Amino acid sequence: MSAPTLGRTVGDGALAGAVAGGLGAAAMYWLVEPSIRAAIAIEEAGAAHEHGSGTAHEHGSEALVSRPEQVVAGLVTVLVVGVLIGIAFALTHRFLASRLPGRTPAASTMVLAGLGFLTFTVAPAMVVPANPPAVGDPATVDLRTATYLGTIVCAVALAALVTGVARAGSLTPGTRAVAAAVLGVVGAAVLVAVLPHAADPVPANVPADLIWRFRVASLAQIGLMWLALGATCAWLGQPRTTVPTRAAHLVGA
Amino acid sequence: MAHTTLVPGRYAAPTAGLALALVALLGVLFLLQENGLLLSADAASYLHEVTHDARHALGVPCH
Repeated sequence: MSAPTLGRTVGDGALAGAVAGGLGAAAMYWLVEPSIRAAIAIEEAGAAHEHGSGTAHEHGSEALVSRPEQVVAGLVTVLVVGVLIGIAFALTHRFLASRLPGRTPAASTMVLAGLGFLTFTVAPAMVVPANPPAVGDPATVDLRTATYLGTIVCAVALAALVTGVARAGSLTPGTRAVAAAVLGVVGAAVLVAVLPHAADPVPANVPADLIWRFRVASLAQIGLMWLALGATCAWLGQPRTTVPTRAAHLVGA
Repeated sequence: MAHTTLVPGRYAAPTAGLALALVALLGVLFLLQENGLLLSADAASYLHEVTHDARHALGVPCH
């Protein structure tokens, strides 16, 4: 099997990322935006009653960017982020496929998407969970950002270690399965214990129900994006027939 | 090792690919995390407001 050209890999990644980003934007519009809207209403009600420290940013009509613009621009941002992540994803798969579990390119693509979801989404979500507007102290944003990025780096390193142990040729299959599982569980527990507890407390005027709905919707959106990215990349990367042939076959079926 | 032979295509593709992957990830970092490190305060706060909903929805720390 000859490797596809670099341009082909990038193109496939960008296309898969656009599919993921498009679905992610749709999920954001229908699942996440209602919680953001509710949270902004709470934020503005709070700002009207309090003295207004000036650090909170504006969401009203006099704001830098109006709310409708903010919603549309947010959807476009998700699409652009999807394309960029798709390109990085396809390139990562191109160079790491032989070191990933999975007998076919499609299988290793889905494994990589799963690892991406775990390391780039679930891991930081456990340490610094997503919050809607109205939660979040601007004074702690630097610590939270550093913790967020550090968690991703640590999670990627742990995932690489676990994957390496799971495929170590010097161990018997039984031993490496146990070793990889133990390493994964212990490593994750150590990371959760060691990483700074940087999450902000939720203010009393924000209902727990809103936080829950926002976080579930956010995770659903990002999970959908990883799933769509992996599935589209796997489909595009299939050998044998060319994509136009398969598309014609699907249309004809 | 077959790869020790200097064939231009063999070296150029991984390097260019990894560089491009890095640029793509830095682009994401810029869109979702830029808060005045590279841009002026005004431009950064405009970018923050424009990408605001996506930053929240994608779970990135935001204000």
